[in-house]
Amino acid sequence: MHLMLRVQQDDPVAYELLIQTYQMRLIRFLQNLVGSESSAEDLAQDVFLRVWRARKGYQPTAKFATWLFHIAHNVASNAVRDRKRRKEYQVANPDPNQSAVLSIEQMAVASTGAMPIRKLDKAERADMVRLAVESLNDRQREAMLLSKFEGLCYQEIADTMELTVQAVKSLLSRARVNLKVLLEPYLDYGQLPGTQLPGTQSPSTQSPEASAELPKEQE
Amino acid sequence: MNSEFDDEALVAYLDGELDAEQTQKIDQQIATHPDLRDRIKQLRMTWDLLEELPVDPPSPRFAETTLEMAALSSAAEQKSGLRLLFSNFTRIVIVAIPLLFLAGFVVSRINQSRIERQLLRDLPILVDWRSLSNIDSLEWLEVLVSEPGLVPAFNDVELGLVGDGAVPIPLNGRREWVKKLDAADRGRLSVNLREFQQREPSRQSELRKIVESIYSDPATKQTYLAAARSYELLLQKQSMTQRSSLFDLPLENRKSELLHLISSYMAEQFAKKIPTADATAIESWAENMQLKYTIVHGHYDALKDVNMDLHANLAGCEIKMADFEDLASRMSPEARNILHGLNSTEAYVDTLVYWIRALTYPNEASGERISTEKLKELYMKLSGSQQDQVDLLQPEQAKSSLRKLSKPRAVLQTTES
Repeated sequence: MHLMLRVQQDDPVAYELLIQTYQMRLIRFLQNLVGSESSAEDLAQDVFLRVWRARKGYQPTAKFATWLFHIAHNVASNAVRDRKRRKEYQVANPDPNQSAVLSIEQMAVASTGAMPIRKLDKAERADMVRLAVESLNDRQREAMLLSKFEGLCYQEIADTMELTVQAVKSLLSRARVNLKVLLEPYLDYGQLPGTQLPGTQSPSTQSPEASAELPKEQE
Repeated sequence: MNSEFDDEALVAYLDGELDAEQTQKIDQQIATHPDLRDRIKQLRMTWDLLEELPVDPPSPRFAETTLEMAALSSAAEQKSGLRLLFSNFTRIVIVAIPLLFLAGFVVSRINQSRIERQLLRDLPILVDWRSLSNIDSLEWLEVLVSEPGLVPAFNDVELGLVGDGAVPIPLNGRREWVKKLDAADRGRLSVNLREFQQREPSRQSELRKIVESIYSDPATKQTYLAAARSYELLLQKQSMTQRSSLFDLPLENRKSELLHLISSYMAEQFAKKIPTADATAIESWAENMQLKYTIVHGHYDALKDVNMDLHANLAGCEIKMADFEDLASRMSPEARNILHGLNSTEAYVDTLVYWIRALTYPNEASGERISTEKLKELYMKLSGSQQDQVDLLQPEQAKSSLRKLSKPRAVLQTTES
């Protein structure tokens, strides 16, 4: 907040520091909402410009991050709506060849325990987590990002997304349970559907609880 | 599954969003219900796994371009505000021009990141970093400039200059200049900037003052830079201990040490190509010495004495200090000037001995060494009578004569010949 108060006084150095402080977080947030790195950078730039233009009206009553991510929420929502309107919106990474390891369908099958699995390396794990996050709906994903990476409390997330606290609670609960269903087979074993290490048995086949259904969109 | 708590409650519990009473209930249940503990553990581990979510860093110019856009946005806002305020065209022009200048200034100011701004501001220091980092005060630089022997003597060694070393004065020009640098120069610039930043703030500001003074007068700028660069080259020839002891000296003592270093260097250069007049002076002096000490000792070979015994040890030689002074007086003003700059009697004698040896063994002085095989080869090329003459010489003199034969110019005749 201290930085933003300096920005309010037209201090360009403070503004530069503010950008450097939040650029990575903002780009990650937008990238996971709109799905493209270059678009995310453009949108992040738009967010920072809006901060600059709105600096005089900034009220230091709430956490600065809440204000910043509220702006980002609006920018991202507009971007997603425009894309849908232009019918250009695609699920991020629609090309199955782009995914180094597996598709969300494969993950869903894996969660039923019907596929053998193998050990994942770091890049594969990252890819798997990305796919699981992409499988959440927009609002679950946004609430998850604000809670997990920005450390906002439910009230702050509610302010950012213009929802009630109860709605946020529900969104985060479903997001976490859905992720758990998809990622559960790999939590203990770091395994990937499709193959099985020689002499090993799929952990999923050993656990009846793992046979959960593929999470459905609940909104 | 424990039915008392739904997923929403457990997630809120993990997020620290439950009130104290509910939290305590779950805490108690966890202790007694392993299935509840497992559910919570799975939910937490799922959340932890999100740390693996890949993050792409922003492009390197992200902050810079955002600042540029903000600056342009501000300029546009100012202009649109003016339109509302003034309807008279002339008044718009009168007010808009300085405002546009101001906007341009703002744009150019926030255009550069802080690091880039520092790099451009301190570019003259960073480009000449190796040279200027040796200059601890403007006063010392003045001493270097006033030392005529310094500048022309050293211009042939690597200086570590970035680019061509010719930094433009306007900041915009500097930016363009930096853009044109190749990768190696940019890397060097970056290393120099880091080293500069590691210096004490007081030292940094002292260097800025020095450079400001150098660049304030275009007419003398090159002279000052050349002096600093030559000084760096001179220092490169010294050991680390010599360098640091030089830096520790008070200005006056450092000045005489500097003179000594220059003279030593020049003596070295002088030995590589001794002028004919000086070579003749040395030969004539050697003959005198021979005459003088032959009277005392019978046969006396002054050059042999110098070469074999006196080198760095005057006490072991017949030739006395007065004899060396006599030799110096016979030499050219250039040679005497070099000798004059040396700061000790030992260095004075050493230098004269060095020159005598350079004449006796020219290959040695020029850094070359002739092997015994090569000497034999030279000997075999001589005519029979020449070989007879060489056979009569002492071994050292024979070698000296053969060495001279390997050079086109044999400046010194042996005493026997």
